[in-house]
Amino acid sequence: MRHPRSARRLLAAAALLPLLAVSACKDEGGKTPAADAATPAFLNIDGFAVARKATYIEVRDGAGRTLALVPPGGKAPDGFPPAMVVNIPVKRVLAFGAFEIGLMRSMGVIDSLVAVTDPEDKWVIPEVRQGFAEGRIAYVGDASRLDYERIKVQHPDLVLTWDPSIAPMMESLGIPVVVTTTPIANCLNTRIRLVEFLATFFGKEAEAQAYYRKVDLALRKIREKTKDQPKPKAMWGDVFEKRVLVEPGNAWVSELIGLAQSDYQFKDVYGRSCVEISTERFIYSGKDADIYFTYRTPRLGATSKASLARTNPLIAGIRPLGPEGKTYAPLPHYTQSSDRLDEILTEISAILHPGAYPDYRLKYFLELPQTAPVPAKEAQP
Amino acid sequence: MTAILRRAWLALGSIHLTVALCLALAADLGLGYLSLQRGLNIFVPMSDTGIFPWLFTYGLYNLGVTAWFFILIALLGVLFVNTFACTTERLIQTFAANHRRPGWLLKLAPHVMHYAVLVILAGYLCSYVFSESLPGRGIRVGESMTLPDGAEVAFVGFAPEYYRGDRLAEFDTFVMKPNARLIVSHGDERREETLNFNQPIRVGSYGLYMNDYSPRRQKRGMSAPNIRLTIRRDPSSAVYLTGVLLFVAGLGLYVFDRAIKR
Repeated sequence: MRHPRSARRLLAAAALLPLLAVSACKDEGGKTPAADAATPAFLNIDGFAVARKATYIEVRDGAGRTLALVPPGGKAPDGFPPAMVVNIPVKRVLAFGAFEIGLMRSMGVIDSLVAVTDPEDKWVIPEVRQGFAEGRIAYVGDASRLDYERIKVQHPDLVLTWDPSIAPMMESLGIPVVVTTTPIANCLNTRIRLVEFLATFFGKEAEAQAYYRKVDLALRKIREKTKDQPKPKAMWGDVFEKRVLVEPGNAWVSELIGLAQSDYQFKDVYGRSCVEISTERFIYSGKDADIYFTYRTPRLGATSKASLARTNPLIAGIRPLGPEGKTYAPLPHYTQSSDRLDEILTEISAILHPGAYPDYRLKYFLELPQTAPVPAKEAQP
Repeated sequence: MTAILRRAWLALGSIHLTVALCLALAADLGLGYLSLQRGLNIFVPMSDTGIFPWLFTYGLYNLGVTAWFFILIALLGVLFVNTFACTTERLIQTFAANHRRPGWLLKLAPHVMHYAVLVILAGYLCSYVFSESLPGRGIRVGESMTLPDGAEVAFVGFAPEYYRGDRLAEFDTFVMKPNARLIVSHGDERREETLNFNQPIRVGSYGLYMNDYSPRRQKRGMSAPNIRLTIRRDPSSAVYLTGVLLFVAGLGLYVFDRAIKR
C-alpha cells in the first residue's frame, strides 16, 4: 500500500460513521437522567422550554418569547418587562384553545379558567358550562374580535393563546401572554407533552406526569394492537370555499397514523397545522385513500358523504366518499376532550383498524353514512 | 523533544488529516440534515441563548437530534488547527523560497484565504458566545421601546404592499411586504427606517430583526397593528466581516497572480 498512514486516517474517519449513525437514530425525546423527575432542571418540548433557576423559572413559549415565572417567595429577575413576569401558581386564566382547557382539566386546575373565546353554547365541558352559569367564566369575544374591556374586568393573571399578535395589546394591559402553538404543526411528542410545559404555570407537574404516562401507555397499546394489521390509507383535511386545508406530514395526526401501521396520504407535506395545499393534490391523494377524516362537524354540514360531495362537488370523486371508502367527522366534544387524549388516540386507531378493536363504539367521531337519513316527517307519505 | 513537537506539528497540518476531516464533516452534515428535519425547533433558540448555554440545555436534553452538532464542533475545531498548521507551514516555506523575488506577495494568496477562513470561523464562534439577544419583543403602532443602550425606537405604522395577482384567490388582501416604519432616536440622531423580514435595521450597536407582524391581511381583526422583534447585539460581527474582507483580498491576490502568469 502506498499510503498506509493516510489509509489509517481514512479508516479512523470511517469509524466515526457508525457513531454518527447511532446518534441520529436515537429518539428525539432523548432525555437527560434528571428529566424523569417531575421537575427537571431543564425541560424542552419542541419549541417550548422550561429552565429552573435559583429564584425563578424561565420559560420559552411557542413564539420564542421568554417569560419569568416567579414562585411564592421568589424574586422577579432583572431584564424582564413586567408583562413578561408571571407569579405562579396562576389563579386566573384566559384560554383561547379548547385543547389547553382540556389539559387544565386533566391537571385539576380548570377552576382557574375565567375567560374563553367561544360563547357558552359551544361548550360541552361540564366545569366550563357551570363556570358560565355561576358567572365565573366570561366569553370575551371571538379570537379575532376580542373585547378588551371585558378582559380587563375578568383580570386574568395569564393568557394562553395560539395568536401571538395579541401579545402587545395584552402586555399593555399588564397581562402576560403565553403562546401555546408553534409556527410548525405539533408532532405527537409535543401533543402529549405540552401538558408538562403548562403544568409549570400551575405547579401541577406530578399531575402532568400522570397524564403523560396515561397517554404514553395508550400509544404503546396502539402499537401492540396494530402491529400485524393491513395498512389502510388515510387523509385528514377539508375543502373550504377558497382553500384546501390538511394536516401536514409533520403533524401529530400523521405520526399517529404511521404509528398505527397505516399510511398517511399527506406525509410529504410539511408546515403548520391546517396547511394549505392545492385542490388537485387533495383529489389525487383521495383517489386511492381508504379513510377520510374531515374537519367539519355534523353541525357544520358533515352529516353524510352525499352532503360533503354536494358542498364540494370537486371532491365528490375521492374514494372515501364513495361506497368503498369511509369518512369520519369529529363530534362537537372531540376538540374539548384533550384530557382524554388517550381515548381519542385509541379511537383513531380503532377507526384505522376496526379488525383490531372488534367491539369498539365510537365516542369522538361519527362515521358518515352514504346519504343522510331522511327526517321522520319527510319520510311519511 | 523538538523532533516530537515537529512531528506533531506536521501531523496536525497533514493533508491526509484534512481529507479525513472533510469526509467526516460531509458524513456529519448529512446526518445533521436528517436530524434537522426531525427537530428544527430545537436549534432555533441557539441564536438567543448563545452556543454554550444551548449545548448544556437543549443540546444535552435532545442528544439524539443534536449529537451531530457536538461532533461538528469537534470536527471544526480540529479542522481549524489543521488548517492553521498546514497553511502556516506552507507560508513559511513559500516565504523562504520567494521573498527575494519580485511579486512574492502574490504567492501568499492561498494562505491569506486560508487565514481568512479561520478568522470567519472564529468570528462565528465569538458571535454565538458573546452576542446578546432579546427575543420576541412586541410593539404596537404609536408605542416606542428603549434599547439597552438608551436608543428609542418608535413604531409609526405600516406601509403594506398587498398581493396584486389574481391567480391565487386565497392570497387576496394578503400583506406581502409589511414595510414597518420606525423612528429611531439615538443620541442626537433621529431618522426613519423601514423594517421587513430580511431587512433588519441597525441602531447603534444593536440590530433589530422582524419576527412577525400583524395584521397579515387587509382589514383583519381588532388588535392594533403590531410587530414582534428580536433585538440583537453582536460585537463579533466585525470579526467575521474582517475575515470576509481578508478572503476577498486573498482572492484578489490570487486572480492577479494568475493574470500575470498568462
